[in-house]
Amino acid sequence: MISAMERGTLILRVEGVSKKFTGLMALNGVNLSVAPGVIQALIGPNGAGKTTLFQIISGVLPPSKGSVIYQGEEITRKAPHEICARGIARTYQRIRLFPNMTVLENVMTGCHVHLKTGVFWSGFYLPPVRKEEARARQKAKDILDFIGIGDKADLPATSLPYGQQRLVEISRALASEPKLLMLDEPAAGMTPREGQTLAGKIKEIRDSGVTVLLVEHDMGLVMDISDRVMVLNYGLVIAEGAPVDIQEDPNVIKAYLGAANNHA
Amino acid sequence: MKRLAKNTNFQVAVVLAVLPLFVPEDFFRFLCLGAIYSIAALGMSLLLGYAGQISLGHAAFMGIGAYTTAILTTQYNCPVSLAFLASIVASSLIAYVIGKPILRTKGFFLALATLGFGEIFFVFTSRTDPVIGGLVGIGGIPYFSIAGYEFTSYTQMHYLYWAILLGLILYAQAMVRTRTGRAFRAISVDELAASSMGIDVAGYKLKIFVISAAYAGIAGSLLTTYLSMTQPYGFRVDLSIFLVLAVIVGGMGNLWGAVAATVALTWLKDEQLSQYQEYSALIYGVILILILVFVPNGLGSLRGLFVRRAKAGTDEAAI
Repeated sequence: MISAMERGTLILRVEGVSKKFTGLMALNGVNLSVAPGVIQALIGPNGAGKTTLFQIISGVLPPSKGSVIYQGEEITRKAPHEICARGIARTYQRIRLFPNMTVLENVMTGCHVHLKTGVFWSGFYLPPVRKEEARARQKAKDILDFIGIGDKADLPATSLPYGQQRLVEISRALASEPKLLMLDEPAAGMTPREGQTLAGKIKEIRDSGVTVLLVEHDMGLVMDISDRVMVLNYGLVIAEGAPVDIQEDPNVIKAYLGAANNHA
Repeated sequence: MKRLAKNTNFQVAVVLAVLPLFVPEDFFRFLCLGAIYSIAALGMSLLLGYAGQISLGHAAFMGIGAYTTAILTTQYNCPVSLAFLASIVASSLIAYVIGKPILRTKGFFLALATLGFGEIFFVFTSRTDPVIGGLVGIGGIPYFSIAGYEFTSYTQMHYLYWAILLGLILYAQAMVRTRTGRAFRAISVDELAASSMGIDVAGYKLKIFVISAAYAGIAGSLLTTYLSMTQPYGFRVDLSIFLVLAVIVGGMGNLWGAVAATVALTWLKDEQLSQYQEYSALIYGVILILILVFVPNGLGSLRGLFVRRAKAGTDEAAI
């Protein structure tokens, strides 16, 4: 159990979160504490409730029970745009880029919360607006360069190969300058080589002070870069700890390899 | 200078400015009407073409602008320019009030809700005899004037309407280039992803609804001073559909395309087919189907066959 003092320093706390869909307990009393500046992985077999937990933290779905506390503030029933404004950005397992925009425009859309111009004033296109737009454009370009797809900036976003579209989504999330970045299977659809490059980038993002919450099926990648790992199975937390401990946890092995392994 | 010559806004402005030197004044009747309807179509283009929200009741916002100007000038002796401003306020305000509940709905339901609003406006104006003239409407509305200068000839009105339109298209172009435009385009394709990126979807929808209603209100006010009268039948669902059609024909998200389509459709409606008024729904339907089958991106997209387009999304002159 964590002490009260430690609690204050946590960036994210999920407390007793349950989510019931008709006839299915997707999450059952899940607790999760994330310290700032770490890569916290969330793993588990298909249907374990990882994405559901992401939906609840980012405000897409309300929980049936429990609460989500971000930097000491309860954000359980806030709208997604309010949560994003507080510094939580996410990507989606099923890519959700804006198909009617270029790569650069997608990333610039990520800058939204840091731009000030209101709807009415944007039409006058006064010097402050131009400056703000130029800054957003530059920031988006810098992020694309950092991620390594700067040369794709002016292409239609959905014309890129799958793996690169994921990189655009990550860039778009980064553009909102999050304190907590939630990545839902960022390496899916990538070649092993692309996955390795991405792993390096995620570490760099962490080292710049951004906390990363990671759902990923590629165990090699998870064990390689994560500081902490939480394992979900059928909506229950079955293990939590450092990667080395998780790999040897009998409950985890059982969940992944199935009951048949027990008889051995 | 070279850059200016390639600018669509500049090209159109020059053509419209010199046109009165070459063509008879009578020709401007439909160009004036075309400009007025185009202003409303621009609002619809922002709402439908950029933000992806439909309204089948926008004629009512034109009507609100028209009736505000008509009532204020004929019954309260208000100067036309002041009544014009009041029209913008009135249509925006009513859009704000009804937009809040209506915009919770999407797609077909939003179409139905706005259609219903348009019908309510028609029933209200046609049954309110003593104040606003019922089905007969209001007549004797003065010409548009600014500080005592009256716009009476077609040529004068031509310059007035197109100048206003140019200002409004510049405003719209600037808006869609900024954060606001990206938010609209994001909402039009994926509301969930938009809100995850920090965009207040409900707020933006309401704002674009109000702005497009303001455009309609401006058009309605100008129309009533142009025609010198206003009546309920002028603002029924066929006009709302006309505006939607203009945006689709001109191309979603193509502002000048919407203007070109509106002028062409106005010419068709008022000059060529005015004796077949009762078939308008049929004719619009056929045009809509032909466009969707053969030029799904609108006639504005054909411009690319003649003019080398700049990179996707950054072509500032063409939006």
